[in-house]
Amino acid sequence: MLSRFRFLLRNLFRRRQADQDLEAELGAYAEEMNRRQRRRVQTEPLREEVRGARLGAGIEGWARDLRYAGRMLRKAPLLTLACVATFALGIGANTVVFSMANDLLWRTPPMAQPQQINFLRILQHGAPGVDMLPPEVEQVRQQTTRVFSGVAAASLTQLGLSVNGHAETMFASYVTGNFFSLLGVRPALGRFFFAPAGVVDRDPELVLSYAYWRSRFGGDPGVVGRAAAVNGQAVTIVGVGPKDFHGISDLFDTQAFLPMGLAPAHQTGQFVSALPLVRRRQGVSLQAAQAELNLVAARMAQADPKQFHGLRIQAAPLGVGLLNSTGQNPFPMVAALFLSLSGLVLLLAAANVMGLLLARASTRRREMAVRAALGGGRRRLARQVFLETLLLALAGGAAGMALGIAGSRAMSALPPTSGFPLVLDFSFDWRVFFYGLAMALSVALAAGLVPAWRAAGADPNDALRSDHAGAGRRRQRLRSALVAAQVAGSLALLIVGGLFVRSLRRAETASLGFNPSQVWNFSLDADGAGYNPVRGGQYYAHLLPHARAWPGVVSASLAQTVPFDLNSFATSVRRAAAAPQTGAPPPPRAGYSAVSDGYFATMRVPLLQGRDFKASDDSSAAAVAVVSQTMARRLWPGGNPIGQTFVRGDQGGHPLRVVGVAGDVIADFSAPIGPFFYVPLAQSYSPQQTLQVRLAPAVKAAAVEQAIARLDPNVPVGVQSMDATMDGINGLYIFHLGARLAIWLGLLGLGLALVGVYGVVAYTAAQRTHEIGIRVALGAQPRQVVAAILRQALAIVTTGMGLGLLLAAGIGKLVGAFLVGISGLDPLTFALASLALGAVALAASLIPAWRATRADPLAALRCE
Amino acid sequence: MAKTTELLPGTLDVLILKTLALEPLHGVGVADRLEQVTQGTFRVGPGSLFTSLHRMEEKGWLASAWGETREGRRAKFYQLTRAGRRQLDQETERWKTIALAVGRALELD
Repeated sequence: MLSRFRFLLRNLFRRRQADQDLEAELGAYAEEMNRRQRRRVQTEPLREEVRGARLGAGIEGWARDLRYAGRMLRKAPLLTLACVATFALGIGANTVVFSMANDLLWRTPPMAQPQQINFLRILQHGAPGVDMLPPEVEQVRQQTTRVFSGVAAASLTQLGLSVNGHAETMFASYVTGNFFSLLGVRPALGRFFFAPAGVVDRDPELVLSYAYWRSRFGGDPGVVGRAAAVNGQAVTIVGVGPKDFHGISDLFDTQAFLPMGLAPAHQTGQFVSALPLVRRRQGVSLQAAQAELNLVAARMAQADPKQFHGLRIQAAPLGVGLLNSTGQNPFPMVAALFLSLSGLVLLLAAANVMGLLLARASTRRREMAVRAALGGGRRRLARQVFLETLLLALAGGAAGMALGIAGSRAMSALPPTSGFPLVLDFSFDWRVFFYGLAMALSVALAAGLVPAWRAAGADPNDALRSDHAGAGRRRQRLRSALVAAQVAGSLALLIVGGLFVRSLRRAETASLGFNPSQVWNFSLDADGAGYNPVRGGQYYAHLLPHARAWPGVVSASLAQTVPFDLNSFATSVRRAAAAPQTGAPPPPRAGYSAVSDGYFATMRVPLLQGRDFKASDDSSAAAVAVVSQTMARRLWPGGNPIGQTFVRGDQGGHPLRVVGVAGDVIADFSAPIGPFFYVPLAQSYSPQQTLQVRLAPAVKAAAVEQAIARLDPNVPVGVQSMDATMDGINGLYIFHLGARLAIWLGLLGLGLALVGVYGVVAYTAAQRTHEIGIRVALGAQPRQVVAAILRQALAIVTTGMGLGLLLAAGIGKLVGAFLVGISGLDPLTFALASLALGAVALAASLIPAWRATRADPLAALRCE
Repeated sequence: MAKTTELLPGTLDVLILKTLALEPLHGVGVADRLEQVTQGTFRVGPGSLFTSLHRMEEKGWLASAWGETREGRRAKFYQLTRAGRRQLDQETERWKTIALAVGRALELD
């Protein structure tokens, strides 16, 4: 055994020495034979025979073929470069898309067994339902101890954190004392706070997220033990969370964690509504847990049908699904779509390379035939050709990975302009690298198998003959089919890219129901300054008249939430006259915002009926509301809504009287326009408010920000134009990202189609040199020659385009759900994309066709 | 050229081992000795000979060293190792059994 290993090593790594030894031995033998006057002994075949039987001869053969493949590729640098670049583009595009999908779908947070952790989604009649308050969460906990080892809760909020006299708004979570132990995370620094389930922790302590610690404190390890103030309340920083831990969602960073007992509502004796988190016991499946929750929900609905009818408690995996109130996680669908599109790009790339290799195969027929004649086995020839493709694919894969890293950096570097701590980490991990490698191997298979198989069929007689017909024609048919498929694929890509771009344009220019230009949003937080509701109310009441008097301010108003804001609110609404009935369909849900007077003027939302709020609509006056057109139509179809009353589901039974009807406003592109109502801020205090200011042209927002700070430096201010707010995470951000990605893929497809068409036409023209030469010699005009070649090219392109339109129609139906304002079969997009592709294909065919007309008839005839 | 008989597969190795059991030989020597002991029945070609020698060396049955022939020419000599001797004994036993069995079977016919 040992001896074999020694010889294997010798044969592989000291081959030269082994060969010399063998040569000498065989030489001595040949000499001896000559001396005996027998026939001359050829040592060469002998040597080959012995070498072929040596240990590791197979490996050596592969290595030799690999070296030969490398030499062949170096000998044709242009072709090699074209193939590697094509592969690199295809694989690069795929790794970019995959790295995004990887981040959004598969990256696991640094928690202990994260697959066992779920959050509970509360639904009523399939829609987001009542809030779960601690008593109900406790009820659920007690009834599910068999399936869950723990139930924790976390609420999300915006807070002002001031350290060393500098205040900054941050996203924070009030969490129960068992939050960290339930998730199974360990602090990177210091410690976490802890309290057993059911015990409210009120220690004034704060835990920072790793990312926030790095960005705001520069990763200073001395931060532990430092004093800080959260919304004016003194706390001590006790620890820092682990790296890559962002709290309950991986999509944005929860920058700080505070004990639930510190939440303002808790301190005034109210409850905080929070997201319940559970950890399933070892071996308990999601289905088993869900079955248990169904029982609990049924029991709760039975005990309190008025509040809990139609209740469903759904255990859902943590992650991006968290953000979506409908319970549908759109990311797998979007990821599947883009992965298929980029897969299509890769197929096009593979088709291109295969076309190039086939074209070269016909010029290498002689080489192959000679090798076959010299005794190269068929398998050996096929292996040779395949190894060349494999080398190309691996080189392309490496280059593509580099492109992909650059591309995904560019994609990650598209942060929404809001101050939202979005976590986009499209960086490459082992999964992306593995995917890239798998892609490289599969394109090598896709592009290399047919040429390899062709090479195996090399006929030694071919070396002597030189006819271009027969097999050549069959090859040509395959290449034409390939190019037609390429044209089809790239047309589909281009159309989908066009759809996304048109959708973005539509969304940008959609009639929003308000006019965002020249409007600036200054988000303010009275809590952040530590003001109680009375003091906060005074601050805002003081601010508004001042703001209206500042130079350059056309109009100003306050709002609890603005369209495309990070925060939005909704509740169920019903007519005051209609009593709630058990078993009746659930009342409609309506979005709402509390606004000051002048809001409709600042935002340019038309008031269709009735009046705006007045200063007299304060806490001492009757509760009033302005409803949107859609809400008016839903609650009082056909009637006059002015003077009618309705009840909101979240605030007792006080009816609100409708005083006005405002035009519908698009506040979110992902959902159709629903009912919406406005209440006066004076009747519904909110600590966080946005001062909206419509500025005269050429007036700087910074001046307003300074004026706000002069008025009260304690209140944290965030500045953003209304246009920027619309580009944010709840606005057009996703559309920008999708459009950018789709159009890049489309253009890549177009480029690949261009190369493919050019290649096949140039090749055909070259094949027909002889025929063209004869034609020209017989007096054919250049125009006729071009027409003859173009006819052939156009037949291929139009076939491909027909198929591409069908393919695009299929994809268009699927992507229709992600488009705004246009259908997935938008005729204009289809027409424009077809036109663009047709023009490019025509240009790609014209050049080689024109070059063919310059064929010298004599040269063409001579080459036979 | 003398009339030769095809070797049964696997017999070449054991025959070479046998010829080397007496003394170390170089390639030509092995071929000569083989022809001699089988009285010209088997003549081994150089391809099979050297392939077999190298394969058995890789297996550790033979060891090789450069030396001088009686005529004073450099040649590579092969020598049985302990493993080679063991292999020869085993193969000889096996051949005896087979030869006996085949012989009996053919005689019964």
